[in-house]
Amino acid sequence: MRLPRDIPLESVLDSVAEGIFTVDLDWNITFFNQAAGEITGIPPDEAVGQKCWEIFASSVCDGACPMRPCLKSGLAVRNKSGFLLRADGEKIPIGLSSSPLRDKDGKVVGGVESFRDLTPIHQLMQKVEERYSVEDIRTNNPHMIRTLQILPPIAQSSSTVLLLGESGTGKELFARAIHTQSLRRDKPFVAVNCGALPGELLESELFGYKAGAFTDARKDKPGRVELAQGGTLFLDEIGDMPQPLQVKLLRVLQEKVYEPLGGVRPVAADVRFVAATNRDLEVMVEKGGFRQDLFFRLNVVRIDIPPLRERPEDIPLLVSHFIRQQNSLKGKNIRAVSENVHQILFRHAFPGNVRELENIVEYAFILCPGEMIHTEHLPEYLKPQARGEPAAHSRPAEGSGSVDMLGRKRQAVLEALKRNRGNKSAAARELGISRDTVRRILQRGGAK
Amino acid sequence: MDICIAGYQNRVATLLETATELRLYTLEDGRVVRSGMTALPSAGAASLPAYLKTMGVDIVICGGLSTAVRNGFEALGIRIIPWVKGPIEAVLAAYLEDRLDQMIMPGRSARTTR
Repeated sequence: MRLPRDIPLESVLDSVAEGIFTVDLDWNITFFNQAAGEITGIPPDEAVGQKCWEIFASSVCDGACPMRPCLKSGLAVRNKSGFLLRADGEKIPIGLSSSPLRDKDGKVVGGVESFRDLTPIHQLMQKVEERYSVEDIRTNNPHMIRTLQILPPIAQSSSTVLLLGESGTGKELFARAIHTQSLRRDKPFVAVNCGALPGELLESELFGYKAGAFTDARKDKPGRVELAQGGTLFLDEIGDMPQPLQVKLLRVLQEKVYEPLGGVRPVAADVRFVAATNRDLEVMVEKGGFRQDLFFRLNVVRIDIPPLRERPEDIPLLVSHFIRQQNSLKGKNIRAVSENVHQILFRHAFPGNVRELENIVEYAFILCPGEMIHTEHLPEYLKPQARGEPAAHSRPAEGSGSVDMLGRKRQAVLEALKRNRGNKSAAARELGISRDTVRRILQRGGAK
Repeated sequence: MDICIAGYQNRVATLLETATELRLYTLEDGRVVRSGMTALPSAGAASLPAYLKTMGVDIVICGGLSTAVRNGFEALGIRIIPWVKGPIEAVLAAYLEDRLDQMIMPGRSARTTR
């Protein structure tokens, strides 16, 4: 469908809510719509004729200009993130896209960029973030929200809690939240990693020893159970606890007493136990690796913590949380991650779960000098080149909505090859991937 | 007197935060007697006020800058001339000839701080 000939294009562009401007090949602004004027605070008649970087006080102008690939290579850029600085020093988060403008012969004669003010979305995200958080646990995942909703009554009971989840899912955060919301909150929270110590050492660490219990025991040493008196003892990696010690722990749980090494009489244990493991205790019980009676004693209240790959809705929330944390730790003022970084994080499987995401943000803080974390600030293994994916500046394939990821990659490679007259090295350079990756994508897609 | 122009590829950087180089000039009797260049500190723009203070800079000429960084400069007594655009050599000449108001980005005020 075409516009009626008697309707000027400018009036159509002036009616849309997105800021739109065009530039010629010398970066001079040739059109600046009303919305662009409202968002930037610059009257359109003052903007036209200026170099675009002299108008936009934007985070993308110096070095990350989305118009550059349009004018230099005829490539479109979609959904880039950044911010504009208004004259009053206020930062406006924006999402922007740009495309080349071609004449009737297909020659690039300039570029068009559209941008929108993301302030309302950012404000909404902040409100959502504030809704579901307990202690340091933040989530938008329905399963996690239900768990957090029942956490206070669980915490206020005296029941033993078993936390199940993969490594890095935040089991200790849950254990701490249970402690701080319990009636024992003013008493100690003591954590022991049962997988970190060999059996005998773990026993003396847990229950302590009396002077003379063994050669080097010159004086009494209190165990973690005693240190946690009145409070909570968190037994992490309980599945790694040796069987002989499992018996002794069972006695503490059943009779609320224990005996330090070398001790002659039982000592009362006023401790609430929270245990955690990333292993399947039921399977271990079946195979005889874990005592069934201890499992039943621990499994009074069970909380399953899903891995991060099963709750991708938490990724933006956690990223914002870690950015805030790192800003205060490092004295920086990083505001967000770019749209491309979001897409990379959404596609990643996170075998290391939330801890891995935290490490990624911490790594990016070291490399990011500005206010926006971009793909170049990510660890190598996450970058598109390392994953065999085209760089962000690749032109989207026509009708790409129904094409799978391999199809999209192959399309981008084929188009780059066409532009570079079949030269694989040049195509790889343009896409920001290695020549080997080009070859691999073509082979997997059935081309040579 | 020492001045600093926050640059990107021979022009004033659009934002102080995105500058890649800091051009430093020592002025005496309205002439440049010494010049040099340094990179932005790796800790970013937030650390710039203290960094430039230790280098003895009195005036910073730059593009846009956030209120937080601007406050940092003001707290240390460094004068800021923001929203400047154009090639660095032209901006320096305009400063020396007291016509920097001609190099201000459209829609912005030439208000300076001390």
